[in-house]
Amino acid sequence: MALPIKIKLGLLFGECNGFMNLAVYNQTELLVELNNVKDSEQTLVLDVLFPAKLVFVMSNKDMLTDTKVSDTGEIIADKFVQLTKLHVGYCPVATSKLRDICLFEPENNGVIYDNYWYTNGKATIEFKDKSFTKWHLNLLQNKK
Amino acid sequence: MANGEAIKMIVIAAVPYIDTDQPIMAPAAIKGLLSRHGYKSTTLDLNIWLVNLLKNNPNKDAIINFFYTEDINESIIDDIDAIITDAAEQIAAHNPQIIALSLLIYGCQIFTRWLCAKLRQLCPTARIVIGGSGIKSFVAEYDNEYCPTIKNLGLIDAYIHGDADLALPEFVKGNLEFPGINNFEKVALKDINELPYADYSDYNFSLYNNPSVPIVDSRGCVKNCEFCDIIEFWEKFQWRSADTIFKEMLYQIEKCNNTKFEFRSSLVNGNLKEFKQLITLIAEYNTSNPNRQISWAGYFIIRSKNYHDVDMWTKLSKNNATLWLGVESLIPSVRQKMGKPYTNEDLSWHLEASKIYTVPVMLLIIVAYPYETLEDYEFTKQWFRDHKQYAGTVFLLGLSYASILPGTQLARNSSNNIRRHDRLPSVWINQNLNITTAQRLQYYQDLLRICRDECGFAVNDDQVQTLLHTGLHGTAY
Repeated sequence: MALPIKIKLGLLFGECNGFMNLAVYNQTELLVELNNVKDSEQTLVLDVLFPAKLVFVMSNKDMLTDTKVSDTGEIIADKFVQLTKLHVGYCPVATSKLRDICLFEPENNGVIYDNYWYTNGKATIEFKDKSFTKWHLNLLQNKK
Repeated sequence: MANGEAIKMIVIAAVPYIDTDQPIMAPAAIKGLLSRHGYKSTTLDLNIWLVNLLKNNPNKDAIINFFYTEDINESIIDDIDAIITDAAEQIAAHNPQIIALSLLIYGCQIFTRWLCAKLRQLCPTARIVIGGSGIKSFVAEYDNEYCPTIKNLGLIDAYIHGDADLALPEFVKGNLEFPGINNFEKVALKDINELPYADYSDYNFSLYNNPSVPIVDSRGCVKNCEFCDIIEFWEKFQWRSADTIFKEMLYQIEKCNNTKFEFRSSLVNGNLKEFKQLITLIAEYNTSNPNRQISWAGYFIIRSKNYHDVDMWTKLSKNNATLWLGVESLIPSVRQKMGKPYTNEDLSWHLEASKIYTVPVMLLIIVAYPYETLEDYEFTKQWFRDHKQYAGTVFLLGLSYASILPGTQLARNSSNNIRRHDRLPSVWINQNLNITTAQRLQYYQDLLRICRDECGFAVNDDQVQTLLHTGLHGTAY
């Protein structure tokens, strides 16, 4: 019998005219929705059967108004979601590797690997193996 | 685990990786302890399982290296994953409510972390507790990150520092306030004659290579050698009486069908009166049971001939004893400073007696001790040349490259004139003598070659490859 893996995610919501809405799926199964969050730092704990594909769907950002830029071009406020922490099976993923595992698809604009999601769109973290330890070992060896 | 859930099974497992094909004692000792408190348990020596599993694996070195360093390459990922999964499944098969993992050495920490992660998946309601001298990097170290870190991650429910005799039963009962549980205090058993016998009933001795039955005779030491961290941990010497030890030997002979023992202590001859009584009992037993004689091996300190007389050596021969002699240095003045004030004549007596009475000995020597000079190095080399007639009696030379372990008196004594690397105990320089690491390493290699090739001693030279591999000779020290 397959047993679920505990996944703990640390998410940072950037505020600019409110926060992004976020829905988290495993493949097509909705796991959790975070709409109208009150605090910028959120922690999600999910129990997921492997293999799995976490899909993060971001919405509620207006690209014209929800990023404030100074006169010198610096971003002074932004509506975004950032994955800041990931524990898979109680084992933390190094912060330096978070970018490499998140396939981010900004709305209407290609794909990149990034853990900073600054547009509506979706981001995916895929766990192809049944074994979460194998996933960690592959990551350790720098495989996706 | 829900409060009040009955504890039907506790699994006690020795965690890899230790380079030994001998039984790890801790699970058996803990099983005996828990049984006395009315708890049912089963033991798993995962170390021998892995040692045997890897015997013919072409990736053996890389796999072992992973569990020491977490260096990984693609070719071993499937192996590592299978090992961790298999180890966890062996534990989970018993459906335990509590899992007690014993870490003998620091090198068990990485395996433990991975194992606990898998156990959290397979046994989500079980309480996981770890213990053993391997939960810290160094025995006398009190600034330890490993345990709090993995506890904060949720990989374990608790860690136990020090001996489990008192703390583990309290943990099982749910008392997490007891000293030594989730902190680095320790409470010692007042009288180790009260220790229950180790229970080896789950051990399959056919898995080991010519195994001995481990047995405890004492804790701590009667000496205060400055380099030793054992005395920093066990501050008081405690011993079991000769009668107690002998009775357990008879018990284990019947239970394990094995008359070979190995004493798990710093020295067998700490309490000389009890030791002489013990070897008398064993000698008498062996005389009465010529076809089923007891034999044993243990650490032994050198004393003068007055104390270790002919009678003692005669009995040691009848004990089929093997002694691991703590020589440490061939330089008397260095030994004096160390806290080992025996003479070279005393050492010669031990070597001669071991030859006459046919008692195999291993000599344990610290090579390039911090106070030893270049002249001392030459003296040591010559000493082996002058004593090569003992190459047959000395079944092995254990030559250890000098390290300054944290928390020891040597570390405290050396703070003024010895510059040390803060994480590598074998990297240091005595600024008074100014002998570099490269010179010491060269001496170590020279000494090994002289002992082995010139004088015919069997030597344990595993350490030199490790030292060369880490590039210590190229350091700035």
